[in-house]
Amino acid sequence: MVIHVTDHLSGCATNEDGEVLLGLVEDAIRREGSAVVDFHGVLYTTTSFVNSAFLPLLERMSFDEVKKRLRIVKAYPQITSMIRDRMSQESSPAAA
Amino acid sequence: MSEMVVSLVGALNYPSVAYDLDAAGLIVQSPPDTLIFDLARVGFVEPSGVVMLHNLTRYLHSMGCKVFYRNYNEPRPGLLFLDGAGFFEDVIRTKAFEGTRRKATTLSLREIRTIDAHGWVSSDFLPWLANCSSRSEAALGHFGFCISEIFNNIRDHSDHQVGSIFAQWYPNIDTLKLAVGDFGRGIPATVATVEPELAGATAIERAFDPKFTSQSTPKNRGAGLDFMRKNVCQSLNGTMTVYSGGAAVLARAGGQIVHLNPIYGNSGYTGTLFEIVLPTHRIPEANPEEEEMRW
Repeated sequence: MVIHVTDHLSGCATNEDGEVLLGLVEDAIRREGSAVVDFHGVLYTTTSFVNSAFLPLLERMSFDEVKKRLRIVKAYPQITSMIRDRMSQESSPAAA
Repeated sequence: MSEMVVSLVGALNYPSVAYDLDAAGLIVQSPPDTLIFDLARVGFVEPSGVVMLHNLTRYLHSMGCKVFYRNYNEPRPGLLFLDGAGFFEDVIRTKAFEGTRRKATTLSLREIRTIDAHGWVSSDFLPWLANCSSRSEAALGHFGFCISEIFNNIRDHSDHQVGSIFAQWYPNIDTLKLAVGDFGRGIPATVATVEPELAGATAIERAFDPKFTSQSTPKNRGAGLDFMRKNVCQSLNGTMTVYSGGAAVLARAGGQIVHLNPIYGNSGYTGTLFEIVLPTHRIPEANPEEEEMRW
Protein backbone atom coordinates (compact mmCIF):
# COMPACT_ATOMS: atom_id res chain seq x y z
CA MET A 1 0.00 0.00 0.00
CA VAL A 2 1.40 3.38 -1.01
CA ILE A 3 0.87 6.22 1.45
CA HIS A 4 1.12 9.56 -0.32
CA VAL A 5 2.19 11.89 2.46
CA THR A 6 0.73 15.04 0.92
CA ASP A 7 -2.70 13.38 0.75
CA HIS A 8 -2.77 13.20 4.53
CA LEU A 9 -0.53 15.97 5.90
CA SER A 10 -0.06 19.68 5.25
CA GLY A 11 3.52 19.48 6.52
CA CYS A 12 6.14 17.15 7.97
CA ALA A 13 7.43 19.34 10.77
CA THR A 14 5.80 18.39 14.07
CA ASN A 15 5.40 15.41 16.35
CA GLU A 16 1.67 15.48 15.61
CA ASP A 17 2.30 15.26 11.84
CA GLY A 18 4.56 12.29 12.53
CA GLU A 19 1.99 10.54 14.67
CA VAL A 20 -0.56 10.73 11.87
CA LEU A 21 1.88 9.11 9.45
CA LEU A 22 2.86 6.47 12.02
CA GLY A 23 -0.79 5.45 12.32
CA LEU A 24 -1.05 5.05 8.56
CA VAL A 25 2.20 3.06 8.36
CA GLU A 26 1.23 0.75 11.20
CA ASP A 27 -2.17 0.19 9.67
CA ALA A 28 -0.64 -0.71 6.30
CA ILE A 29 1.85 -3.13 7.88
CA ARG A 30 -0.89 -4.74 9.96
CA ARG A 31 -3.17 -5.24 6.98
CA GLU A 32 -0.71 -5.90 4.17
CA GLY A 33 2.57 -6.73 5.82
CA SER A 34 4.42 -3.73 4.40
CA ALA A 35 4.13 0.00 3.72
CA VAL A 36 5.45 2.32 1.04
CA VAL A 37 5.66 5.99 2.00
CA ASP A 38 5.75 8.45 -0.90
CA PHE A 39 7.20 11.88 0.01
CA HIS A 40 6.71 13.46 -3.42
CA GLY A 41 6.21 17.21 -3.00
CA VAL A 42 7.58 17.41 0.56
CA LEU A 43 10.50 19.86 0.82
CA TYR A 44 11.88 18.74 4.17
CA THR A 45 11.22 16.93 7.41
CA THR A 46 12.28 17.71 10.99
CA THR A 47 13.64 15.40 13.65
CA SER A 48 10.41 15.81 15.65
CA PHE A 49 8.47 14.48 12.67
CA VAL A 50 10.84 11.59 11.97
CA ASN A 51 11.11 10.71 15.67
CA SER A 52 7.33 10.39 15.95
CA ALA A 53 6.65 8.84 12.53
CA PHE A 54 9.25 6.08 12.43
CA LEU A 55 11.17 5.50 15.68
CA PRO A 56 8.18 3.87 17.47
CA LEU A 57 8.34 1.08 14.86
CA LEU A 58 11.56 -0.06 16.54
CA GLU A 59 9.62 -0.70 19.74
CA ARG A 60 7.40 -3.16 17.88
CA MET A 61 9.88 -4.94 15.60
CA SER A 62 13.62 -5.22 14.98
CA PHE A 63 15.46 -2.81 12.72
CA ASP A 64 15.96 -5.62 10.19
CA GLU A 65 12.23 -6.23 10.21
CA VAL A 66 11.56 -2.52 9.63
CA LYS A 67 13.93 -2.55 6.67
CA LYS A 68 11.95 -5.39 5.11
CA ARG A 69 8.52 -3.87 5.71
CA LEU A 70 9.05 -0.16 5.07
CA ARG A 71 10.01 1.58 1.81
CA ILE A 72 10.52 5.31 1.45
CA VAL A 73 10.14 6.59 -2.11
CA LYS A 74 10.21 9.89 -4.02
CA ALA A 75 11.92 11.70 -1.16
CA TYR A 76 14.60 14.38 -1.27
CA PRO A 77 18.02 13.35 0.10
CA GLN A 78 17.54 15.51 3.23
CA ILE A 79 14.54 13.37 4.08
CA THR A 80 16.03 9.96 3.32
CA SER A 81 19.27 10.67 5.16
CA MET A 82 17.41 11.93 8.24
CA ILE A 83 15.16 8.86 8.39
CA ARG A 84 18.06 6.47 7.83
CA ASP A 85 20.33 8.21 10.37
CA ARG A 86 17.69 8.47 13.10
CA MET A 87 16.65 4.85 12.71
CA SER A 88 20.29 3.72 12.78
CA GLN A 89 21.11 5.87 15.80
CA GLU A 90 18.09 4.63 17.69
CA SER A 91 18.67 0.97 16.91
CA SER A 92 22.35 1.00 17.83
CA PRO A 93 23.19 -0.54 21.25
CA ALA A 94 24.45 2.77 22.67
CA ALA A 95 21.01 4.30 22.20
CA ALA A 96 19.47 2.14 24.91
CA MET B 1 7.40 55.07 39.49
CA SER B 2 10.85 53.66 38.79
CA GLU B 3 12.76 54.46 35.64
CA MET B 4 16.00 53.15 34.17
CA VAL B 5 18.10 54.13 31.18
CA VAL B 6 20.14 51.49 29.33
CA SER B 7 22.74 52.94 26.96
CA LEU B 8 23.54 50.62 24.08
CA VAL B 9 27.13 51.24 23.12
CA GLY B 10 29.11 50.12 20.09
CA ALA B 11 28.20 47.08 18.04
CA LEU B 12 24.66 45.88 18.58
CA ASN B 13 24.91 42.13 19.01
CA TYR B 14 23.95 39.58 21.64
CA PRO B 15 27.07 39.83 23.87
CA SER B 16 27.22 43.63 23.76
CA VAL B 17 23.53 44.07 24.63
CA ALA B 18 23.96 41.63 27.55
CA TYR B 19 26.95 43.68 28.72
CA ASP B 20 25.00 46.94 28.50
CA LEU B 21 22.06 45.48 30.44
CA ASP B 22 24.41 44.46 33.20
CA ALA B 23 26.15 47.85 33.22
CA ALA B 24 22.78 49.50 33.77
CA GLY B 25 21.93 47.09 36.57
CA LEU B 26 18.80 45.73 34.90
CA ILE B 27 17.33 42.47 36.19
CA VAL B 28 14.89 41.50 33.47
CA GLN B 29 12.68 39.41 35.73
CA SER B 30 12.00 42.45 37.95
CA PRO B 31 12.16 45.42 35.60
CA PRO B 32 11.45 49.06 36.48
CA ASP B 33 8.12 50.64 35.57
CA THR B 34 9.77 52.40 32.65
CA LEU B 35 12.90 51.50 30.74
CA ILE B 36 14.54 53.71 28.14
CA PHE B 37 17.02 52.35 25.62
CA ASP B 38 19.39 55.13 24.59
CA LEU B 39 20.64 54.44 21.05
CA ALA B 40 22.90 57.51 20.72
CA ARG B 41 26.07 55.43 20.67
CA VAL B 42 24.92 52.39 18.73
CA GLY B 43 27.44 51.39 16.06
CA PHE B 44 27.35 48.44 13.67
CA VAL B 45 24.11 46.47 13.95
CA GLU B 46 24.16 42.69 13.61
CA PRO B 47 21.15 40.36 13.21
CA SER B 48 21.67 38.89 16.70
CA GLY B 49 21.39 42.40 18.17
CA VAL B 50 18.18 43.13 16.27
CA VAL B 51 16.54 39.93 17.50
CA MET B 52 17.80 40.18 21.06
CA LEU B 53 16.65 43.77 21.48
CA HIS B 54 13.29 42.84 20.01
CA ASN B 55 12.84 39.83 22.30
CA LEU B 56 13.90 41.88 25.27
CA THR B 57 11.41 44.63 24.45
CA ARG B 58 8.60 42.10 24.07
CA TYR B 59 9.51 40.37 27.30
CA LEU B 60 9.69 43.63 29.26
CA HIS B 61 6.28 44.59 27.89
CA SER B 62 4.92 41.25 29.07
CA MET B 63 6.27 42.06 32.54
CA GLY B 64 4.34 45.33 32.60
CA CYS B 65 7.35 47.53 31.87
CA LYS B 66 6.92 50.48 29.50
CA VAL B 67 9.79 50.59 27.01
CA PHE B 68 10.91 53.71 25.16
CA TYR B 69 13.78 54.54 22.82
CA ARG B 70 15.90 57.66 22.85
CA ASN B 71 18.12 59.11 20.11
CA TYR B 72 16.91 56.60 17.57
CA ASN B 73 16.20 59.00 14.73
CA GLU B 74 19.65 60.27 13.93
CA PRO B 75 20.50 59.11 10.41
CA ARG B 76 23.48 56.92 11.20
CA PRO B 77 24.16 53.63 9.37
CA GLY B 78 23.38 51.36 12.32
CA LEU B 79 20.06 53.05 13.06
CA LEU B 80 19.11 53.14 9.38
CA PHE B 81 19.82 49.41 9.22
CA LEU B 82 17.68 48.85 12.33
CA ASP B 83 14.86 50.83 10.74
CA GLY B 84 15.21 48.94 7.45
CA ALA B 85 15.01 45.69 9.41
CA GLY B 86 11.52 46.72 10.52
CA PHE B 87 12.54 47.09 14.15
CA PHE B 88 10.96 50.45 14.91
CA GLU B 89 7.83 49.65 12.94
CA ASP B 90 7.36 46.67 15.19
CA VAL B 91 8.18 48.15 18.59
CA ILE B 92 6.95 51.75 18.27
CA ARG B 93 4.56 51.25 15.36
CA THR B 94 6.26 53.77 13.11
CA LYS B 95 9.40 54.02 11.05
CA ALA B 96 12.23 56.10 12.48
CA PHE B 97 13.11 57.72 9.16
CA GLU B 98 11.25 58.99 6.16
CA GLY B 99 12.08 57.00 3.09
CA THR B 100 13.80 53.96 4.53
CA ARG B 101 12.31 50.95 2.90
CA ARG B 102 12.84 47.28 3.14
CA LYS B 103 15.26 45.90 0.61
CA ALA B 104 14.46 42.74 -1.31
CA THR B 105 17.49 41.22 0.38
CA THR B 106 16.08 41.90 3.86
CA LEU B 107 13.61 39.59 5.58
CA SER B 108 11.90 41.95 8.00
CA LEU B 109 12.06 41.27 11.69
CA ARG B 110 9.00 39.44 12.84
CA GLU B 111 7.64 37.57 15.79
CA ILE B 112 6.18 34.19 14.91
CA ARG B 113 4.09 31.86 17.01
CA THR B 114 5.42 28.33 17.09
CA ILE B 115 2.17 26.96 15.66
CA ASP B 116 2.53 29.26 12.63
CA ALA B 117 6.25 28.77 12.08
CA HIS B 118 6.30 25.78 9.75
CA GLY B 119 3.75 27.25 7.39
CA TRP B 120 5.69 30.52 7.39
CA VAL B 121 8.91 28.73 6.42
CA SER B 122 7.18 27.35 3.32
CA SER B 123 5.08 30.39 2.41
CA ASP B 124 7.51 33.22 3.21
CA PHE B 125 11.02 32.24 4.16
CA LEU B 126 11.95 29.76 1.44
CA PRO B 127 10.45 31.83 -1.41
CA TRP B 128 12.34 34.90 -0.14
CA LEU B 129 15.66 33.05 0.11
CA ALA B 130 15.09 31.38 -3.26
CA ASN B 131 14.59 34.81 -4.83
CA CYS B 132 17.76 36.18 -3.24
CA SER B 133 20.05 33.23 -3.85
CA SER B 134 18.73 32.00 -7.21
CA ARG B 135 18.33 28.53 -5.74
CA SER B 136 15.10 26.57 -5.93
CA GLU B 137 12.96 26.07 -2.83
CA ALA B 138 13.65 22.35 -3.15
CA ALA B 139 17.38 23.01 -3.09
CA LEU B 140 16.93 25.13 0.04
CA GLY B 141 14.79 22.55 1.82
CA HIS B 142 17.60 21.15 3.85
CA PHE B 143 18.24 24.60 5.26
CA GLY B 144 14.54 25.39 5.74
CA PHE B 145 14.34 22.39 8.02
CA CYS B 146 16.73 24.19 10.40
CA ILE B 147 14.25 27.02 10.95
CA SER B 148 11.45 24.58 11.66
CA GLU B 149 13.79 22.70 13.99
CA ILE B 150 14.51 25.85 16.01
CA PHE B 151 10.80 26.61 16.37
CA ASN B 152 10.18 23.04 17.51
CA ASN B 153 12.83 23.62 20.18
CA ILE B 154 11.05 26.79 21.27
CA ARG B 155 7.80 24.87 21.48
CA ASP B 156 9.38 22.09 23.55
CA HIS B 157 11.51 24.21 25.88
CA SER B 158 10.03 27.69 26.30
CA ASP B 159 7.07 28.97 28.28
CA HIS B 160 6.71 31.72 25.67
CA GLN B 161 5.47 30.13 22.46
CA VAL B 162 6.96 32.69 20.11
CA GLY B 163 10.28 33.35 18.46
CA SER B 164 11.67 36.38 16.66
CA ILE B 165 13.53 36.08 13.40
CA PHE B 166 15.44 38.45 11.18
CA ALA B 167 17.56 37.71 8.14
CA GLN B 168 19.73 39.61 5.75
CA TRP B 169 21.16 38.27 2.53
CA TYR B 170 24.40 39.91 1.32
CA PRO B 171 24.63 39.76 -2.47
CA ASN B 172 28.28 40.82 -2.64
CA ILE B 173 29.35 37.69 -0.75
CA ASP B 174 26.31 35.54 -1.67
CA THR B 175 25.77 34.81 2.01
CA LEU B 176 22.82 34.74 4.41
CA LYS B 177 22.98 35.98 7.99
CA LEU B 178 20.03 34.97 10.09
CA ALA B 179 19.15 35.27 13.76
CA VAL B 180 16.27 33.59 15.51
CA GLY B 181 15.69 33.58 19.22
CA ASP B 182 13.29 33.07 22.08
CA PHE B 183 12.92 34.12 25.67
CA GLY B 184 12.93 30.68 27.20
CA ARG B 185 14.84 29.25 30.13
CA GLY B 186 17.95 28.56 28.05
CA ILE B 187 19.69 25.36 26.96
CA PRO B 188 22.02 25.03 30.02
CA ALA B 189 19.02 25.04 32.37
CA THR B 190 17.26 22.41 30.25
CA VAL B 191 20.35 20.16 30.07
CA ALA B 192 20.84 20.52 33.83
CA THR B 193 17.46 18.90 34.45
CA VAL B 194 18.97 15.57 33.39
CA GLU B 195 22.70 16.17 33.81
CA PRO B 196 23.01 18.69 36.65
CA GLU B 197 26.80 18.55 36.66
CA LEU B 198 26.91 20.32 33.28
CA ALA B 199 26.72 24.07 32.93
CA GLY B 200 27.43 26.90 30.49
CA ALA B 201 29.02 26.13 27.14
CA THR B 202 29.64 22.50 28.15
CA ALA B 203 25.91 22.04 28.58
CA ILE B 204 25.16 23.64 25.20
CA GLU B 205 27.72 21.36 23.54
CA ARG B 206 26.08 18.36 25.20
CA ALA B 207 22.79 19.31 23.54
CA PHE B 208 24.49 18.76 20.15
CA ASP B 209 25.10 15.09 20.97
CA PRO B 210 22.66 13.03 18.86
CA LYS B 211 22.20 10.63 21.78
CA PHE B 212 21.22 13.38 24.20
CA THR B 213 17.65 14.30 24.96
CA SER B 214 16.21 16.20 27.89
CA GLN B 215 12.84 14.51 27.27
CA SER B 216 11.28 17.81 28.32
CA THR B 217 8.15 16.44 26.67
CA PRO B 218 7.35 12.72 26.27
CA LYS B 219 7.70 13.08 22.50
CA ASN B 220 11.04 14.87 22.60
CA ARG B 221 13.75 12.44 21.53
CA GLY B 222 16.55 14.81 20.60
CA ALA B 223 18.98 14.92 17.65
CA GLY B 224 17.75 18.23 16.22
CA LEU B 225 20.88 20.26 16.94
CA ASP B 226 23.08 17.48 15.60
CA PHE B 227 21.23 17.50 12.28
CA MET B 228 21.37 21.29 12.12
CA ARG B 229 25.12 21.21 12.62
CA LYS B 230 25.52 18.57 9.91
CA ASN B 231 23.39 20.51 7.43
CA VAL B 232 24.64 24.04 8.08
CA CYS B 233 28.27 23.43 9.02
CA GLN B 234 29.28 20.19 7.33
CA SER B 235 27.16 20.08 4.17
CA LEU B 236 26.99 23.81 3.45
CA ASN B 237 30.16 25.12 5.12
CA GLY B 238 28.22 27.62 7.21
CA THR B 239 28.59 28.53 10.85
CA MET B 240 26.14 28.50 13.73
CA THR B 241 26.55 30.42 16.98
CA VAL B 242 24.29 29.52 19.88
CA TYR B 243 23.89 32.01 22.71
CA SER B 244 21.96 30.67 25.65
CA GLY B 245 21.72 31.01 29.40
CA GLY B 246 24.80 33.18 29.73
CA ALA B 247 27.02 30.96 27.57
CA ALA B 248 27.83 30.61 23.89
CA VAL B 249 29.26 28.07 21.48
CA LEU B 250 30.24 28.32 17.84
CA ALA B 251 29.83 25.42 15.44
CA ARG B 252 32.43 26.14 12.78
CA ALA B 253 32.32 25.31 9.11
CA GLY B 254 33.08 21.59 9.09
CA GLY B 255 31.20 21.01 12.34
CA GLN B 256 33.78 21.52 15.10
CA ILE B 257 32.28 23.10 18.23
CA VAL B 258 34.25 25.70 20.15
CA HIS B 259 33.29 27.39 23.40
CA LEU B 260 33.06 31.17 23.22
CA ASN B 261 33.63 33.53 26.12
CA PRO B 262 30.78 33.46 28.65
CA ILE B 263 28.23 36.19 28.12
CA TYR B 264 29.02 38.93 30.55
CA GLY B 265 26.44 40.04 33.01
CA ASN B 266 23.79 39.15 35.52
CA SER B 267 20.74 40.67 33.93
CA GLY B 268 18.90 37.34 33.99
CA TYR B 269 18.46 37.24 30.21
CA THR B 270 18.41 33.50 29.54
CA GLY B 271 16.83 33.27 26.11
CA THR B 272 18.40 31.22 23.35
CA LEU B 273 19.49 32.82 20.12
CA PHE B 274 20.83 31.10 17.02
CA GLU B 275 22.91 33.10 14.60
CA ILE B 276 23.52 31.29 11.35
CA VAL B 277 25.85 32.37 8.57
CA LEU B 278 25.20 30.43 5.41
CA PRO B 279 27.23 30.85 2.22
CA THR B 280 24.37 30.30 -0.20
CA HIS B 281 26.78 29.89 -3.11
CA ARG B 282 27.69 26.54 -1.54
CA ILE B 283 24.17 25.26 -2.15
CA PRO B 284 24.11 23.29 -5.43
CA GLU B 285 22.22 25.11 -8.19
CA ALA B 286 20.74 21.90 -9.55
CA ASN B 287 17.49 20.75 -8.01
CA PRO B 288 17.91 17.70 -5.79
CA GLU B 289 16.42 14.54 -7.24
CA GLU B 290 13.70 12.66 -5.42
CA GLU B 291 14.96 9.17 -4.66
CA GLU B 292 14.08 5.86 -3.10
CA MET B 293 15.76 5.45 0.23
CA ARG B 294 18.43 2.79 0.55
CA TRP B 295 18.72 1.43 4.06
